[in-house]
Order: sequence, then C-alpha cells, then structure tokens
Amino acid sequence: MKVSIQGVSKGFGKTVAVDNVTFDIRDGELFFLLGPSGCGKTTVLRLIAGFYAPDGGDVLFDGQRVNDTPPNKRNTGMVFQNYALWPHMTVAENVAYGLDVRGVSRDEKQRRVRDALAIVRMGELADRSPTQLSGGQQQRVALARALVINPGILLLDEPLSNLDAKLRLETREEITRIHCETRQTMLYVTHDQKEALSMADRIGVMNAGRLVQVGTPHEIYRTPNSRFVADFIGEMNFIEGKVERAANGEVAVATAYGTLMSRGEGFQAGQTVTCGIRPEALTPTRSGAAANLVHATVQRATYLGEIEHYTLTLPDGQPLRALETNPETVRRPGEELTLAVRPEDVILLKA
Amino acid sequence: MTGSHVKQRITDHGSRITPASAASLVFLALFFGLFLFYPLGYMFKAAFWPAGGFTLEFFRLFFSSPFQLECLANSFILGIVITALTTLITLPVAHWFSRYSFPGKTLLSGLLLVPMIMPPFVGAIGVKQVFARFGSLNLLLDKLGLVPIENGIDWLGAGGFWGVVILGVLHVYPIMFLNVTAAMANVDPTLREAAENLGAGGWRLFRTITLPLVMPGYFAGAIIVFIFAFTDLGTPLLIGYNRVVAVQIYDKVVEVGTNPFAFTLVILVLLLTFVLFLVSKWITGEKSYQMMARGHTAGAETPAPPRLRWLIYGGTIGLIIVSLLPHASVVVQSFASHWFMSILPDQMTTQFYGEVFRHPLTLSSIRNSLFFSSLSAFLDLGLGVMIAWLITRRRVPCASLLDAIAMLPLALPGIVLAFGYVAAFNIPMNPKSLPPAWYQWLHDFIDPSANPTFLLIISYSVRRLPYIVRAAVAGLQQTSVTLEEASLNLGASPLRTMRKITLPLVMANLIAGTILTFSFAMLEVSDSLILAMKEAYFPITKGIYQLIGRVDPNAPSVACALGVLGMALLAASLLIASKTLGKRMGQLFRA
Repeated sequence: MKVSIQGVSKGFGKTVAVDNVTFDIRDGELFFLLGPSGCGKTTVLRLIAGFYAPDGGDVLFDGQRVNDTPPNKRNTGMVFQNYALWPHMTVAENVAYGLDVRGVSRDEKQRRVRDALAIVRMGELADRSPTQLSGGQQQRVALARALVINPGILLLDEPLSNLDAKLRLETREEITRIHCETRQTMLYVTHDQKEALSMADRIGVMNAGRLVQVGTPHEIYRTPNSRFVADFIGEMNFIEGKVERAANGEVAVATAYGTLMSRGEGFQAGQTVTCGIRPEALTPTRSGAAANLVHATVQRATYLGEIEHYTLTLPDGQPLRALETNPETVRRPGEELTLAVRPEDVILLKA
Repeated sequence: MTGSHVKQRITDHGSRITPASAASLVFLALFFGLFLFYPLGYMFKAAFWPAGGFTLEFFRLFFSSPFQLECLANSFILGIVITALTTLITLPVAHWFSRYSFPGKTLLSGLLLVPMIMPPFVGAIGVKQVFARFGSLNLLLDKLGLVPIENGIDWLGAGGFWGVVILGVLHVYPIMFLNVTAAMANVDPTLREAAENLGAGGWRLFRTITLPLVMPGYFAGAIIVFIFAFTDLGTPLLIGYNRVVAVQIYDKVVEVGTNPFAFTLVILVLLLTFVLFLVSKWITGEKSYQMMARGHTAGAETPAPPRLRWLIYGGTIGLIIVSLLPHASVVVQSFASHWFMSILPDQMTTQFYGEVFRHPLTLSSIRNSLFFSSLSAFLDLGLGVMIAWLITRRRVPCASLLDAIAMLPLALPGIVLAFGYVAAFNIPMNPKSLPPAWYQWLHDFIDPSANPTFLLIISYSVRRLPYIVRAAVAGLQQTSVTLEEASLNLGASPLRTMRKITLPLVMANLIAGTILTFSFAMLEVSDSLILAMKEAYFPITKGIYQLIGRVDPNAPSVACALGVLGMALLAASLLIASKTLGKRMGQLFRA
C-alpha cells in the first residue's frame, strides 16, 4: 500500500510536534523516519496509525483520505516500542487477536498464526505467556502479531531501542530479511543512524517537527542538504568560505586554509558557503598540489587497530577531525600533517 | 531493565540478618503471636474443642437451626447485593475518571470520597428520619397528595434490608472507586492501542483487553467491600435488621465464657471470609502483570467530548448528592430540637453542640477517641516502618510470610477480632481470694471488661496495619536503594542514612498512612461496640450508639451533633492525607 502524507501538522497544546510535513511511502518500501528524540517522528507514525488526528493536512492510503478513519479501521500493523503484548493472553492468542477481530475461520487462523510465528522463529513458544519471554522474544512476537493481519503498512516505533547491542544487530537483520521475503510496506522510526543507513530503502530526516530531507541512505550521507543533516548523520568538519568562481559544475571556494575545489550547480562568485568534509575523506598526503590541501597539527591520535582517529588543529586554532585507514606510521601529537580531499568529497552547503 | 538490576542488588546485599533486624523480627513475632494468632487460636479451640475433646456438635447445631442459617444467608445476601450494586455504580464512574479529563475533575474525585468520613450506622439515624414509615419523604408525598400517609411506602424494605444495603453501598463505593480507577490507570495505554491498531474497538476492546487487565484490581476492592458488607455490625443493629450474623455475634458477647455456640458463629464467619479472601488473592496473584515493560506514551487521558461531559457531570454529581443525603440528614437532625411527624424539624437550635461539650458521656468519648486513635496510629507507624523496612530493604528470609501476615487483617472482620479479644483476654477476678499483684495488674490493664484502653488501641492498630504497611512499602519501593548506598558510601551510618535520606524521602507516604489509620480508628465500629464496655471508656462511635438508644427525646440530636463533629474531624484529616499523597491514595485501599 502506498501512503501519502500531505502537508500534515500536529500540535499538542502550544508545542508544534509536526510542522507541515509532506512525503510518500511507496508500495513495498522500507521507509525510515530518522531524527533526534522529540523531532516528531513518532507523532507522524501515530498519525498514520490513527491515534492522532492531524490538525492540518491529509493522510492518504492508496489515494484515499483516511483522516477520519478510526485506528481500528485502518489495517495498519504497529510494533510498539514497549511491544505492548497483552499479559493475559498467550503468545499464540496475542498473534491470533487481529485475526479474531477480522472473523478469520478457525483453520485459516491456526495456519496463519503458525506461519507468522515461524517467520519470526517463535513457533516453539506459542503457548508461553509473554511475561515469560525475554525482550528479544517479546519483540518478535509483537512483530508477528502485526504482520499476521497482512497490514497495508507495518509501523515500527523504535523497535530495537529496548534490546541490547548484540540482539539489536540480529533483529536488524531479521527485519531486513522479513522485508525482503514479504515486500511488506514498512515505516520504521528510529534515532539510530546506523539502523537507518544499513536497512532503509529511503530515509526521511526530521528535525524540530519538520522533514528536512528525503533520500536513499547514499544520498543522505553523501549529499546532505543542510548543516543539520550533515551533522546528525555521520561526522562532518565544517569550513566557512566564499565562492571564488563557479563554472561547468566546478566550484572553487576560498577559505582561511586555502582554496577548496568542489562540485555543484547554481553557485555564484561571492556567495558565502559552508564546506562539509567527512573525516574519512581527509587523507594524509605528501603531494604539493595547489588546491584541496589542508595543513593541520596533530593534537591527539586514537589508535583503533584498523583505523586511526585524529583530532587536529588548524592554523587558526579550529579543530579538525580525520581518519586514516591502515596508517603507515604512528603520528605523534605536535606533528604537522598535510591532508588532501577530493573535490567530490567537499560538500557545499548554502549559508 | 534497570529495575531488575536494582532488585538483584538488594537481594545480594541484604541476605544476612543483622542483630537489629533479628530483634525486630522477634518483636513482630511476639506482637502478631499475642494479638493476632493467640485470639484466633483461642476461638478455634473453643469452637472445636470446647470441653477438651474434639467435637463438631456446635456446628451440627448451627446447621440444624433454621434461624441461624437464615442469619448466615441474610448476611451473605447483603454482602453479594452490596458488592454487586457497588460494582454497578463504580464501573462507569471509574471509567470516566481514568480515561477522560474534564474541568473540575479533581474537585469531583475528592467529593466522591467524602462518604467515607462517617460510619454508615450514624447515617442510619438520619436515614430513618427521612425514609421511615412516618418519615419526611412519606410525609412529603402525603402533603403533595401523591401517597396518603396511611399506606406510606416502606422505603427501607424487607425489614430494613434495603436500608442496610443503601447505607452500605453509599459508604463503601469510594473504596471500590479508588481501586478500580487505580487499576484502570495502571493499564498501559499502548495495550489498548495495540488492540485498536489490530482492528478492535468499542465493546470488543473493553471486553478482551481492558476488563481482563482491570480484574485483579477490581477483585482487590471487591473483597474488601464484600467483607465489610458481610460483617458490618453498626448499620443492621441501628436499622433493626437483626437477623444477620454480625448482630448475632454481638448479642453473644455477654455470654462469652458460658456459651460455646458463639465461637462456632465467629469461626464460621472467619472461615468464610478467609476462603473468599484466598480466592480473590489467587485470582489477583495469578494475573500479576507487573513484569511487563510499560509504554512511554504520556497522557492516557483524553478530553471528554461535550456530550459525554454532561453525562459525566450528571452521573457523578447525582451520585455525590445521593451519597451525602445520610450526612445531610444527620446535620439537620443535629440542629433539630423537635422533629417528629414533620417533613423538616419544627425548630432549629444549636444547643446540642453545647451539650456535646457538657455531657459527660460525649465529652469523654471525644477525648477517648482522640487518645485511642492517635496512640494506635503511632503504634501503626512504628510497626509499618519496621515491617516495610524488613520487607523491602533487608529482604529477611521470611519477607513474604511477614508481608502476608501484615496483610491478613484485611480478611479479618472487626467483629471476629474483637470477639476473640474479649474471649482470649478475659482475666476473671475471684472475689473471694486476693490474687497476686501481677495478676491484679493484668486484669486491670488488659481485660477489656476492666479497662479496654489497651486492647482497643491494639485492635485498631492490628486492623489498620495493612494500610500503613502498604504506604510505607510503596514509598520505599519508589525510592531507589542507590540513594541510600550513596549515603553509606560517603561514610554515614545506617541509622543516619535512615534519618537523613530514607525517612525524608518516604515522609509523604508515612504521613498519609498515619492519618488514614488515625481516621479509620476514629470510624471503627465493631471493635468499639464490642470492646468498650464501661461508659468511661466509650469512643465516639460507641457514644453515638449509646445515645441513640436512650429514651431521652434529645438524645438522637446530641448523637447527631457528636456525629457531625466526628465527621468534621475526619474530613479534615482525610483532606490532608489526600493532599500529601495525591493520586497514590488509591494504592492504600487494595487487598
């Protein structure tokens, strides 16, 4: 099922939780809403589930406006952050609940419950009480309970936040596998960028109630459209500068540390811009090229085995972060380094 | 997640028994042994082994007596009807108060608790004045030309049965309300949302999710209501509905030493309530859902839609008005210098309030009540803190047993305990021989027929101990043990930690719990009626009861004036308790 959010706003009292948000979730897509806590992403999810009514704008399921449809008529399957398993029912009864509501016949119900529990590998524990299950097991039952009704969209509200690190990785793969097998349309809400980058078909980044950018993980990471997105996802060094010249998709930016070449359209000479450079895009070099070199002093080096993390100081005292994979020598604090960056790795953000 | 870690640590560090906790345990064992198990055991012995040998003769007698069976049946029916009616009244109100927000909610929920401030038998005085055969209501109907007074309606119905029912329901529904509201508020809203999300709505949602999850809380309240209704002494006595077990037991107090049949009655009542209590515990315990993680969705309350709001106002205010009618009639009566065969009193006066303070009986009863109740409240405070500390912090080996014993009095009707005290602590004096000094002292100090002060205080304490233990345990459980560990880590002694850290943090709970035990001691009817035998030792409740029985035409009005003063005292203390404890008040009324 395709879900469209069109200009949706929602406030609670005086605070605006969701501010004029528009995006589409395509049929069969695993869509992520990513953002810091309090950015409104869970509110969007609950607007789709129907637990909140939008103050303005429309929610459309396959083109049909569902603003006034109560939650129990929307056929969305939700996995709650705390799983919300009913403690007075067994695992199988929990999973069967949605089918009972839908008046599914006994035989079909049994078959579908069995299949759903098999998908999440919980078949043997069907007769247990949810209180006897570990967090990871409860998580999978909640997933089965939402999947079994063949929902138009599966809504996952920070589903991994209550699991420990190892289980989180396993469940991440599990959800990806289920998505590949079922091509179920899913909306996944999280504040964990690693989850989003590794699993999503597309990501919508939210901040302070607004949707800031929508794109594939690659687009979001490589071409963030704002300082917020660049900073929130991954690490980023910011260097202020002024466009010297822009032609044929090539942009030269004058900075306090020399000229940086970059790529981009629609820039004009004299324009103030911010250059974003990821730490892993900066490589120590001995080359003497005229552009895209930064000189800095090592302040601290953190050795992580396969990688070395550097905290450096630019000539004017500004900090700079860089990475070196498989470093050739051990760098000592105080050492002067020249770092090179490729033009395509210099991200230009309009001020 | 963190909860389990904390729990783990408490178990680790408290597994040894310190001298202090050993001493406390010995003290508690003595206290419960002497004032709970000894009287109960004494009655069991008297019922089953009256003359040394085991016999069921008295039980056979009981079950072959149609009169006794009728009394038992009547009490049982009273219990069932009152519990059922209370449920019917409470469920919608509790639903409104736990799910919706609306202007004036705090005020209304406070007013809903007001009926608790007066023992129902006091209300009976007023209710009789209004609903009796020649009471205000029938006179009013006669005057309006609706129902001629010659065939006036028998409002109290079936020999007063419905009078007892109505007074009972109006008195206990707040306990059920607090329980059910707390249970409903405790249901994680995401559990309902999950069902809605899967397509359930309306009645199905209520039946399959809300109701089963609220059941344990409901049973916890229902069993208290049932035990109250089943064994209430004051109301049937005053309405004159005497064919109930409580009144039968009361009538036999005077024959304690001579008539073993009374013990049979008491033991039957005890066994019945205890079995029901266990059943309710079993239902509640089977379904303890505390373990599950809760959702973080704040605000389970939604604003009430306008039309529903009017229903809520109508229902709640109607209920409050009806439940305050007995109180209102008591107030009117307290000002009535002459109220006989008229709708409202012919003359109003404040003289009875003056009389309350001049009359030797009323004056001493106010003093006695304050004295007994404060002492029992402080005794409870000490016991409650000690027990709660042992249970939550020391994790002594027998913690769950201790907890169960402390909660046992909830299943123990007041008449049973009081009767047991009269029987077990009967220390007769032989007028012919001079006893040793210690025996004389024991008689003077403990035997209720000589001086009930000691046993009244003890019985008030034992009966209300569960409330203060609940309050203290709740407080200690909400206070992370790491706060105390931080204090110990910085070098403070355990005693200093207790004084500087623990007690201040749980103070609100302790104050509220103490005020509640004080209030309930003031309200206590069965213990007071049975144990206080000499006028000099009467508490307020027995004073009122005694006054009503007098032939003096002014006596009911003086009794009502005394009742009004008692109500004012209790209203003030309960107000303070609920202010200190806020929403957590509901936790204290659970079995």
